[in-house]
Amino acid sequence: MKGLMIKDFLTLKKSIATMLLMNAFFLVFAYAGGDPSYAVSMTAIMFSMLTLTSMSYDQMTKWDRYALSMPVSRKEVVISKYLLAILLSTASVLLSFTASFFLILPKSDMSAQELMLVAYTVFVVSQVYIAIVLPLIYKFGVERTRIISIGVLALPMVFVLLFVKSGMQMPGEEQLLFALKCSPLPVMLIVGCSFLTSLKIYRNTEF
Amino acid sequence: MGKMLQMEDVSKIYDEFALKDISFSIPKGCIMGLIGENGAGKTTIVKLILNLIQRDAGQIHVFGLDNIEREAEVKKRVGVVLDEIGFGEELNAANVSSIMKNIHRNWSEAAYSEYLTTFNIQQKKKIKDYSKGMKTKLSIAVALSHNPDFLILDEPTSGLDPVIRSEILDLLLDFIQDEEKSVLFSTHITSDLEKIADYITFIHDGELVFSRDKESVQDDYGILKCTMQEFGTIDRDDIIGYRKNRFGCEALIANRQEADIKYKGLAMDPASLEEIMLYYVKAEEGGRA
Repeated sequence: MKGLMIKDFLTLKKSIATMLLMNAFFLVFAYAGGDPSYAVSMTAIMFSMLTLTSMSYDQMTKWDRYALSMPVSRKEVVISKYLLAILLSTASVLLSFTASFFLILPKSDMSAQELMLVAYTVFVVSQVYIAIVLPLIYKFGVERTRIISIGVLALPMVFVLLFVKSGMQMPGEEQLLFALKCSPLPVMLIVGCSFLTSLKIYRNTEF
Repeated sequence: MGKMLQMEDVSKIYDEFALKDISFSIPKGCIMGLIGENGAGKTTIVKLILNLIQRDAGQIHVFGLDNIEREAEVKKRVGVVLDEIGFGEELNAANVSSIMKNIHRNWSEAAYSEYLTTFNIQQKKKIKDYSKGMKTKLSIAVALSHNPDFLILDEPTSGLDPVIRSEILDLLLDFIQDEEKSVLFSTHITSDLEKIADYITFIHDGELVFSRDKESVQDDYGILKCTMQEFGTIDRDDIIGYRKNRFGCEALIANRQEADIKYKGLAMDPASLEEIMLYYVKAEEGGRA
């Protein structure tokens, strides 16, 4: 497992450096606009893509086939990808939150509590994104999943539009806050189900 | 002599290809060459041994252990070289060691460094700057550095120049010196196997043609050379495949000694592995008597 994680981080070293540089740009834009939530959300989106990049490399170099010819189980391979995705998204939210907190927040209208709320929302969304995208990659491969994931990202917007058009009342701030407070358990459940689905697919995949 | 690998009636069915009832075994301390035309099923056999694909029938034992039930134990003691290196182009040999020492408990950095020195591979050079030969050498260094008992190589020498190929073959001969280790070497470059293999398993179109010791193959198979008129007198059951040329005809026969007596006066040469492969394949394409 450790070997798999080291392989992923070494392979992504260059991409992570590029992402950090982009993060710096997002911070500059956010600073200019006085909106720290921009830096947090953009960084999280970019870092979420890194897991896809890692799996794309694996596919290109036929890594899975090679890894499974060594004393590495299919379960370990899948766990390592979920860990990578969760670690990257957590690190990106923490990093962009900390930078925004010290650099942008002082000149922004936003309170520290609001920024924390934004960061937590982004974190929850990125975990759900991982939970949806990883089984899709195991089933359809990286390239087809990239196209499908555009749909995955667009789906919530479609729901909101349908919600508004149907004349139903949008949930208020308090309801949204309550939903966020309750979110850890459902998010863990979603990620857990996603992992089991990915494992089932991966166990039946032939290399 | 114990068995390193034992395959019994192993089958794998795809829509357009089937590997049917393959049985063969590899004793300890020897090199088994796995030959066959492209698409014959060599890589499928390698994948089945490594449980990368699911078999539809049969049993596979490595070191006497079931390759699926005892997968982890088996894979700890196997070294593998596949047709592609598996590592990203941005990595270097030093990175590979950092990864492998966390995968193989027996990983020896000292042995790995020694192989890199022997192969003239720099620790910090990125894989993207390697030649095909260097990539193969790195794969072999990786496969050997956890001191495996069984080495499985899938087409390791294809696309390499004769000098590198010869270095690799010498290394394989060294590997089996203590007579406790074995090599399964899949290739369509039969001349490599003529130099180092002890046994040959020939797969053609998903079926096992033979699995036997190389010397008996070289002793038994022969190429009979004759005119078209003489060819007409030969018993068709003795001929595996034939080829017409402007001087007459050449035919592959499976028992040279018998044919020597039966067809006295006709020229007969030993058949190379390449000729055996060629005539078997040709027979399928209408070159059978």
